[in-house]
Amino acid sequence: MILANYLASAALFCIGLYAVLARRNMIKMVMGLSLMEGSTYLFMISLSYRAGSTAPVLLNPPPGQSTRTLAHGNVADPVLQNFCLTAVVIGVAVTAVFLSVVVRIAQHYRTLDSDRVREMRG
Amino acid sequence: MTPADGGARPEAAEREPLHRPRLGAAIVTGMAVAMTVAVAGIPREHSPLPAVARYALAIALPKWRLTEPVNEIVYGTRGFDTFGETFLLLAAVVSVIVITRSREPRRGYFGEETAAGRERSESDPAEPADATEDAARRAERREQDDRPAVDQAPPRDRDQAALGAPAPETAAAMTVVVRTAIRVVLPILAMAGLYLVAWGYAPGGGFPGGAVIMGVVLLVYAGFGRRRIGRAVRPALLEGIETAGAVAIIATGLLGLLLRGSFSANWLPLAAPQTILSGGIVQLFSASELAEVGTGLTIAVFALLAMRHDWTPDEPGGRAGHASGPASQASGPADERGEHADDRAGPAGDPRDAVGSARPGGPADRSRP
Amino acid sequence: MTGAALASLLPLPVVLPIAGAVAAPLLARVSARLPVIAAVVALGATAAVLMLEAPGVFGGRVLAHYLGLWRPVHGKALGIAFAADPLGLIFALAAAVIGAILLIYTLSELGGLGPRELGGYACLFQLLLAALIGAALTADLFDLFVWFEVAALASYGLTGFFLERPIALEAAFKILVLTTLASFSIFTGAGLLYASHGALNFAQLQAALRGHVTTPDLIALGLLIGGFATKAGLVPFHGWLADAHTAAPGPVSALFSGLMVNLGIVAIARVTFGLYGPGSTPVLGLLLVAGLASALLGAVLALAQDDLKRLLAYDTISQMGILAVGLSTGSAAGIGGAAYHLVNHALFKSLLFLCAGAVVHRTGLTSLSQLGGLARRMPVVTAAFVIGALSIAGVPPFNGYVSLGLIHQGLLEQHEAIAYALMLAAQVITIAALGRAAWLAFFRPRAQDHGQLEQLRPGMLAGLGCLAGCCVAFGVAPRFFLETVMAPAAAGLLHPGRYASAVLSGSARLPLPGIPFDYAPGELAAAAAGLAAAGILAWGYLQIAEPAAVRVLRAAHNGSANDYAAYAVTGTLAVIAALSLLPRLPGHGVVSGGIAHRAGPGLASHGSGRHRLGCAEGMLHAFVAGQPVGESGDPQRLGVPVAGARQRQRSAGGHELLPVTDDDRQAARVHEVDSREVEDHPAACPPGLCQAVVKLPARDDIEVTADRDDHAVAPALGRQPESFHPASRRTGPLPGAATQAHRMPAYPLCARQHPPRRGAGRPGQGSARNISLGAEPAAATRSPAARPLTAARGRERSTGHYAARRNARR
Repeated sequence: MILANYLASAALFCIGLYAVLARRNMIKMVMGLSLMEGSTYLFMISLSYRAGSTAPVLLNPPPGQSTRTLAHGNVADPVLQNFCLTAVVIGVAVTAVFLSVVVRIAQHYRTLDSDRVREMRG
Repeated sequence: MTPADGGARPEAAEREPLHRPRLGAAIVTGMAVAMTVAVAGIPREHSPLPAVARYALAIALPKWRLTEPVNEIVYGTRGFDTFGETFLLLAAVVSVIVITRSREPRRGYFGEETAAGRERSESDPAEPADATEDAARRAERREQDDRPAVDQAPPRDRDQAALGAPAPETAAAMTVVVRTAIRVVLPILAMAGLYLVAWGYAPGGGFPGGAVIMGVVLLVYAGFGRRRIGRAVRPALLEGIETAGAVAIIATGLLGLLLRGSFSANWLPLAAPQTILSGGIVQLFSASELAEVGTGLTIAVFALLAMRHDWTPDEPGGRAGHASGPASQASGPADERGEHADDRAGPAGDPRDAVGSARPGGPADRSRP
Repeated sequence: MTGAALASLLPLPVVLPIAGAVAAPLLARVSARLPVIAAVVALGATAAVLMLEAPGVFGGRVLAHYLGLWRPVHGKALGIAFAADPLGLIFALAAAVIGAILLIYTLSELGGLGPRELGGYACLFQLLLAALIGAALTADLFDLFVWFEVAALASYGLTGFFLERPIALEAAFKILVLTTLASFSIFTGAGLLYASHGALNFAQLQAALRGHVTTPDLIALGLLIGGFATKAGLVPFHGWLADAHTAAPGPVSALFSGLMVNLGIVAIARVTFGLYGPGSTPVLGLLLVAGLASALLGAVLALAQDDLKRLLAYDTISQMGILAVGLSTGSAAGIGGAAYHLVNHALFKSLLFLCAGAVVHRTGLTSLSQLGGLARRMPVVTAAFVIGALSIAGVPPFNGYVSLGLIHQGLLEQHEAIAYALMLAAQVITIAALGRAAWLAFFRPRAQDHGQLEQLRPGMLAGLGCLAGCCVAFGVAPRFFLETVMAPAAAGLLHPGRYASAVLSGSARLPLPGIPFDYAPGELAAAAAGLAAAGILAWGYLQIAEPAAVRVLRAAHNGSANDYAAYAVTGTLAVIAALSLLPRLPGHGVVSGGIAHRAGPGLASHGSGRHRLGCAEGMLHAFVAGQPVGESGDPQRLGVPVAGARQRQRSAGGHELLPVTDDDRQAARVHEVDSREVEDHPAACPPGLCQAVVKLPARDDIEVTADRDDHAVAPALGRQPESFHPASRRTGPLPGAATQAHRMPAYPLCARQHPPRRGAGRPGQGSARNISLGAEPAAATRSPAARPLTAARGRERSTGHYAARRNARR
């Protein structure tokens, strides 16, 4: 079991979620969400791994295997890697929007403390 | 948790409220336990590949005559997901543009602006900016107006500079080492980005290619400053390329519908495997994706960098922004501090023109009451 | 147009608004209003394409199409499926039509914005609508996630649109945090489901999840529900909703409330009914609890609000709760009522938000205490607001009465008296809240008159008029809409098996339930009583100070993004815990099925459900074939091949080899049919072995027939024969001996073979033979047919009659 990957993913996820839940600085919250997204990338890629498999790149097969046998043999899961690519793009997009919103909030409220940015309550 | 009090501004607690770290730790532990149970229960690396993946490798790949399963899945078989993702990125770029936009003249009465003025006076802090914030704003304005830092004036006559004194580096550019390195690396990186897309039978594709191209542009910006990059990279050009990429992607799908009867079907002849044109619409999609992603992300980054204080008063009690329409309500007394006016009277035209954005109004819109 | 051609047009409603969105920034350079006009045109074209599909789909069919013509192979989908079922189609139509109305409204109300602003607005608006339509029409879990994300990103930009308002940016931050957490939940849930079952297609996943739902599946369901409930605004995931709706521009709030939150409910319905099946998990009870909590909390907080748009936002939370309650009934009336309420909510909430947006845009005032006396100045807006309020209140000529009445009917059918009472209480409080708002904002005489207010422009009049007219139309012709639209929508959810078979094969018919509706005097009296109670409550609330309970609730909504995120994640954890720890509700009485692994001489099994009534404890081993989905009540299919069907394999020791689909994963299941229920026992095909073993407690007796097309079995079960595969039938207790099969040493067999009634389907195979059952398990697993699967993979011929049958069926 690629334990290290899963443990790292879990650790990143926990740190990220804790930052979102418990840190008031908005930049720290954004960083927490980025960490959580990073943990999902690692998680998906680790899920796509198969024991003893090689990467799903059929271009230059490892010695002893042809493209055909590799396609029928033991490779990692390319569909989950598609997932991961999509998630990376989503992460970039969301982080860009996040940061622009945070800068605008800082211009208005002149603080980065989410406890001071609470005009709408109740 | 502070109780809901009528209109007073919420004050953050002096210390971190204790309930948050504890509650946060408890929730995080719970989620970690749930995820561990889930991961322990699913088949992992000792289970065989799912049928979808198997078919993608064994059936779809030969049909597309490609050798790169991930590219084939992303742009070919599950191309509609990537289609959606492209427009996700477009939505993000347009959201960033909308949030970072500068003021434009509006016609008609906008009650939202009245409401905004009222809300600003209630919620935006009334105390004046402290020294650090002032300095930060001045530095930001100086960078955006593209003027040199006042405390680093180079000597009038270079020949009079002391021998051995370091060359006057302005804040606009990096050291000569960095600039030379960038000049060397730039074409290699650009070629690498195009390479990632051109050879569709090798790992790569539009997304990494676009990211590399964006990295190239940002390198030039970081190394050479805004004016140099602004001459080459104009928002009109970028937006044009982005629109062209998006239109190409839509057209690729629609032509599949028209010619082959299904939306993302392949309608290009399939070239031999391991050539540049192999894969039919996979390559077309990938190349359009490069254009779209690269330019889109670049637009987003430059929009972020060009954000101004159009929507908030630069000084407390000052007028917010300048390009507001004649009918909009101002928020406070229209007094201008001297420095404020000085900075605004800087280079004619929107300093964003350095990056080339076409502002709808002209300098005439910078009306002051 | 043929069904297949119509189905191939299904991506067009998604692509057309996207094309409009791409064109918007270009058109903005030409003229400020051109992007919005182009958007209206694009949405009109979208609605036209959807109307093309409408007659077939609303007639009770589900149309499916595989993009790129990547049709499923052996029942495993390779590409992305688009399926138009009635619920998705009505949601997409509502999105297109109401979106167009909102854009016309924008043109006249917000037409004075600058060109780049308006271009960006039109672009984001259309991307959001395209994403909603895409999510409604897709039959692929990952595609649903992608469109969900597109909608989320477009909503961020639209929330923070008026940058001069600080609350807009604050709201944008909160919606960002919460929706990003939600998308993380959905992504992880989808990833877990894929990793467990290797499928992303709804039909395949449904087949994989049938009957045997493991703990990771339940955790995935919890994550999915947590994520979609955040979008839907159910309690406790609702922290972003009030803020975002308050701060967004008027038409954008209408879009959010009327359409975007509905996306969450539609997705929950798809996942709950379409994927997991309501009986196998306690998810319906969870939906009921969450729905009632949302309904009550939304109503109470709406009553206590001072800001007009925030009040309407809390009412949205309440209505989403009512939708969830309707879905949780699981009956035709309840689900039909929920579908009806979906459309109704889109109409009347958009109407209300447009009125509120018009008020804010003209007067610049947002709080109810400062408003007042608008009835004289803005009569049209007042009238529209009153119509919207009456619709929510459930007053008979308007549409709310119909949908609420149907949901009440559904609740009463399920004998949920407490839920009915709570829902009535929530309705009363909602009516009181809206009445109070109408009084304070419009009818209350104001000491100081407003200044000159702008006249209504024609676009706004058109928009308000259209929506109000639709409210009336959906109210006065309920039976028409029920029969044509809502009953098929309910059928789509109630018969997920048909949906799944449509997705796999291209189209399928849905049996349409009859949902009766009439203006019962009891309901009318209850409605009148509710109105009276609400009036008293509203009057009373205007006089008294805020009660303590309301103050506590308001204090809990303290505006902090961290706390809202904490509520949402706690809610997700609670859902996960409830799903995995609560005992699974008795659904169809799953007989314990076993999954046999190759490990070891004995057969290990895991997963067992409840036993049914039966005879002695025993084990029966059978080799069974993988079959695609059916549903309860259908004669099920059990592929029984004949010798030689798998040319490369010999049957092992007198056993019949059943073809297993070329799949490395779970491929085999047996469906047992008896007169009442259908069970499904997933079995695993261990890798390298082309057979699957199912271990069943032989309290029930399995009679396996090799009857190829069901003719003998089906009439015995009182059903029409279908040209499917043989069925196994459960008969009464049998004497213990098996036939020529080997005796299981430790387990008495309760099985019998049944001579086939009809001959074999494939030429050259001789007569159909029987399945022989009950081998020594170790011998079975060490059968000589344990060839590597690669030899048979991808060869359709080797699956014998099974493939032939499938091809014939297509």
